[in-house]
Amino acid sequence: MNYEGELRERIQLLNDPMRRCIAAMSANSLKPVVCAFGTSTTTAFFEESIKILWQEVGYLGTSEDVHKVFEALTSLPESNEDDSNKPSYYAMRALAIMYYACEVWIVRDSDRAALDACLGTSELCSCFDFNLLDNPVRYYTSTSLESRQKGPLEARQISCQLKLLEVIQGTTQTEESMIEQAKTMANSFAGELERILPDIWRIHGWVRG
Amino acid sequence: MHWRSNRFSGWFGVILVFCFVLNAMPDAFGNLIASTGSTPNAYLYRGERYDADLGLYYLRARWYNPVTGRFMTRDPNSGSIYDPASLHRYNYGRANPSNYIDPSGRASIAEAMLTDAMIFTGEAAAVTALGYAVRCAYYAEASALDLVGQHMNQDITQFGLLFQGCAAEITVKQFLQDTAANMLFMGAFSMLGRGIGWLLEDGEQGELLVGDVTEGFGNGLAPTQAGSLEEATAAQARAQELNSMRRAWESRNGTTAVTNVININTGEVQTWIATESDNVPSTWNGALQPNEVYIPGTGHAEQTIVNALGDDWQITSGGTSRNICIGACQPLLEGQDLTLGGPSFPGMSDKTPYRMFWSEQ
Repeated sequence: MNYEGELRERIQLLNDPMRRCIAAMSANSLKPVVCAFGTSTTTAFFEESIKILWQEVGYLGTSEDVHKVFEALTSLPESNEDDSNKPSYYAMRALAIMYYACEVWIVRDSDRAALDACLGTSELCSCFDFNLLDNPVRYYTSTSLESRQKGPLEARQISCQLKLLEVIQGTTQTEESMIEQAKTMANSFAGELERILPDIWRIHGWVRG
Repeated sequence: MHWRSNRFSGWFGVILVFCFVLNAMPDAFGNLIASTGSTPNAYLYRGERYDADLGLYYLRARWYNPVTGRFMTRDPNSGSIYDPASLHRYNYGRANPSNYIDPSGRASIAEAMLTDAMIFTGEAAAVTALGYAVRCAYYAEASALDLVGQHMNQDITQFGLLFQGCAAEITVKQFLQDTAANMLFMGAFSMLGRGIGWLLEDGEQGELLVGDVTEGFGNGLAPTQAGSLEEATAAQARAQELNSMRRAWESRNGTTAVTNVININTGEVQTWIATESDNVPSTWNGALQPNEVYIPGTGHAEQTIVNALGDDWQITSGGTSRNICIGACQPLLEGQDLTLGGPSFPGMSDKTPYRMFWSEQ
């Protein structure tokens, strides 16, 4: 089974707090992307939103704070950025993960939303890998998709997701322990991501304004 | 003396061939790249009639433009889905005039195969004739031409190609008159063309000095492949369909481009798809058709496709799920000789109103 199939299967087995936990980890992992490519307004908003998500992981019911985050997401400076040749495009991609993470609290099919958050995060990492690799893949056909090689950052993110799934599905985990381990993993990955983002600026020839 | 007179007439024939060739030397597409003398000659490229006023060749069912390497009207034959190159109904000789001809104006593989076989046989015959011509100098008592014909007759019979059995039915001289002369001419012409091609090359650099008479697309005039608004409309609809299958946020902010491309060397046709992301959206699982190829990239979808074309591929038509931007993609697509048009879509000021593009050439 491929990564996506395994992820889908395992997320369907989770309860709501567990799904919220893995969704919050995905959004938290991308904090450096917003810091590097977003405006200060969006960066502040994103950091505050992450705190709210972690606080609300164990909250049973629909969180009003998460709702507010969800509604504000579409009115930020980078929310409608569609030009992938601009730095703010990557901030927009990170906002997408926050959008799917909030959906886990809001929508009925929270397993689909949690899956979107995880896949969206690994795909954004894949974009960074693509830019950093010297000889990226030239094309995929319908038959070669399964054999696609994953870049190091994407592989690391997938590893984090699968490891967290193992942790939170362990029978002896308390909710607090689960959240702490998820935060630790997210921050560790964010640290790795932060180190490569200056290279993304350099490769695109972008100049900080 | 009989030998001398025959030898004289043989050399006279060869000189005539050279004069003809040097008088008008077209490239692989029929563009005149060299000529000498002032005698008007209406029959140039592959012996076809050239209308100097129109700048076109008359190929019976259709008129052919050597500048674009394309016919002026569509092929009356509809082509076959099992032979993609035959579906391109404006191309001359399957866009590969070094290897195919189209004397009827109706694409035909058989014609090309026949020509290949005749040229091959003619070249072989010319080589054989050259070898025996050297030996002729030692046979003063016999007709050299007869000897050449005699030996050629034996060898060509051994080739067993188009003219198998000719030797048993006709005399050597009839054979020479009816068949070998044509074959010799074609072989000599083909070899001469190759020889001039070698001569025109800069020995060390391989740089062509006059045109390009090597295998391929003539003097750099690669034939272009026409698309149409209809094809672009279908591609745009497919782009819209695929984009709507992406996750909600990516569907709202992302772009999907679908382009029909052709390999100008092989005639292979594919549909290239790109988004602004390097990965195939996971929600497209199973959605790509066998002829659809995803091109990874992180720039604009259209940019990714154009950048992947290289020297071999050419866009014929395409469409995008979002308006084509003015700054990057419009000049890039127009630089590929593509026309932007079709229905207007309201959009931002940094974008054109268009989502479709196609080649009109």
